[in-house]
Amino acid sequence: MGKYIFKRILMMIPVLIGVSILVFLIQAFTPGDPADLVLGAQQSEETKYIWRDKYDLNDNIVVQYGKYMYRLVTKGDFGTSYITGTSVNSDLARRLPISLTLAALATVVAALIGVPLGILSAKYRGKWIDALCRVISIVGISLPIFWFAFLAIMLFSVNLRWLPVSGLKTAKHWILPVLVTGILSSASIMRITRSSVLDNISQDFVRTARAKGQKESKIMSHHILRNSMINIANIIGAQFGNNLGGTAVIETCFVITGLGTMMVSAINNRDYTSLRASVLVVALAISVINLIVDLSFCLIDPRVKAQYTAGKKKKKKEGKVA
Amino acid sequence: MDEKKNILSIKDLSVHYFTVDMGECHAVNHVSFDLGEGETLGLVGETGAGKTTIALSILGLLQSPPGRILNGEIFYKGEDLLKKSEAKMREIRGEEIAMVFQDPMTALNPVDRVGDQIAEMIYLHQKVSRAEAMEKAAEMLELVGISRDRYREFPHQFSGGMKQRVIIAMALSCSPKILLADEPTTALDVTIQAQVLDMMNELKKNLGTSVILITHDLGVVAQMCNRVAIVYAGEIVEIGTVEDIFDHTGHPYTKGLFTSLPGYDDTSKRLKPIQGLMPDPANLPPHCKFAPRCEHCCEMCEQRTPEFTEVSPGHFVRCHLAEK
Repeated sequence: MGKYIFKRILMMIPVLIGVSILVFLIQAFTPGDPADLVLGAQQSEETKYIWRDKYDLNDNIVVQYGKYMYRLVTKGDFGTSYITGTSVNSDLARRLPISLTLAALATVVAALIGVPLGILSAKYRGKWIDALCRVISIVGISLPIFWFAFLAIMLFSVNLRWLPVSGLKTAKHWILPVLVTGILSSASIMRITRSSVLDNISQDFVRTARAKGQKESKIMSHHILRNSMINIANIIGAQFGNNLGGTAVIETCFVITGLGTMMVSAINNRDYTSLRASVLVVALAISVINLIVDLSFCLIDPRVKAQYTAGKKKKKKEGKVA
Repeated sequence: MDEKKNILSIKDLSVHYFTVDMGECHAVNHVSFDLGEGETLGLVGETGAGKTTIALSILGLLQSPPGRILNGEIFYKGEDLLKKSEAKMREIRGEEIAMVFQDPMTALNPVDRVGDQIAEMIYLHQKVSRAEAMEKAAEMLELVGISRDRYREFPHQFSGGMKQRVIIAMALSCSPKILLADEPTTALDVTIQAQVLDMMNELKKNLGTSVILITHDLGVVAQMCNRVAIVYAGEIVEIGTVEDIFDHTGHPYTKGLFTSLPGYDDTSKRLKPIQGLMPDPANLPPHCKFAPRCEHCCEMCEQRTPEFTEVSPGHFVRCHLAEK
């Protein structure tokens, strides 16, 4: 098991290197000079050259990448923001927890709504309650999040004045962004839960459980749901990643100073250091989430776990490197 | 009839499946039979004859929709099971009437420990602590020849025969009065078949359980059963003791079943299968269901439904040839 986790962590490295290369390539293909934006186009070439030199921007893109990665790996230094001139690391330290908390809370809300509704929908398949849940989930999947966010702001903040419009000063400020993201991402969780429960509901082992005289509620929780958990854990993990990557929109709607708004303003200002840092951190976070989800499969399904433990034994026999 | 008390008696049971694409399927039509205490009754018939539907109806586990019990009564201990509430039926399932399912590969929950799946049954029906239920489950495993060390293993670590034994252990764990065994050996290879059948016989002797054995294997019937009911197209066409059926075969369909089997001392080179196919259950022949395939079919067979005739005490045949 420990070996498997270690292997999976090692496998994250090429992914992150790939992401960093992609981010650098985008920068190479983007027209326009950051110096023009930061200093103003009317500045002399010389001033611009000196400024660019500070950020290695005069170097060849490969050299830039090498220098960047060297600083990142050896010192953990993401560089300095072009715009503020301050360390990106401190920006990240301030903004990452906000976005992570927001995405995590939203995912919890999504799971709390999506899983029970999915079960309900599957249990009453074909009844009005199922039809209702399915309509809601289709609407939820198709709605653009910013539109839903503005609708919620209009209703609860502007008209009813129950909740603040923007920012994250108090606990009350968190309610709307968390609920908006959570409700929308519950739609996918609901759909997957429903289909996965339906897959299992007609299985033979469910009939066996009924033949034992087990109660329907216990059959659902103990037999059907446990067999559906792999799919459900998978979609919850995917939604967490989605919510984290999609914070840009929700943070813009609610004027939250998280990773998402950092990304957006970095793109607008050609602040490549900030952009690289935020994209890399999101990629890292999503890789970690995926790892956790994959590991959770071992807890859920003994057959998955058996693959790893059996793999170990087989390796000795066959001399195969796993 | 012998004087043994009947533990279960089914009267005039009809089950239809209402499907969108095939219409109304007459899966079980006016089936009646009794099961004596300690007796093993074989239900024999082709795939799709309605054997499993009968068993599921007894337990009230028929998928509904599409299945629906149209009429009939299933008496167990003098009470009609079909009129009982779901909660009452839950108490009967497993404790009084248990079922062994056809396919051991899929009948166990893949993410639950084998022992716990047996313990679940015991814990449900007996007033014992969890630890006691687990201990009893381990004993049941040993009873079916599986070491108690394997209690904590999962179904995927077991072979097909072992899974089937686990299912049998589960079904027997509350010492049910009636065991419904739905093709318990069909999915197993021959050596394991013999093991499982021997074990079931052994356990039946020790626990005094009555068994309804659903199968299409006449060899298994000869080895296990006291009485046999031949099911064709949702009807019982012949019922009697094993001797009646094997030695004084009455119905042309039953004869057809025997001639379809290679005999031990048979010198003929070719088997004689029954011509034709089972009738479509959505569109059954109006009178004798077997008439279209029967080589003795005469005018009367297509005009009048044959009576269920008692040819010798306890041996009934549904055929005009037997009526005389």
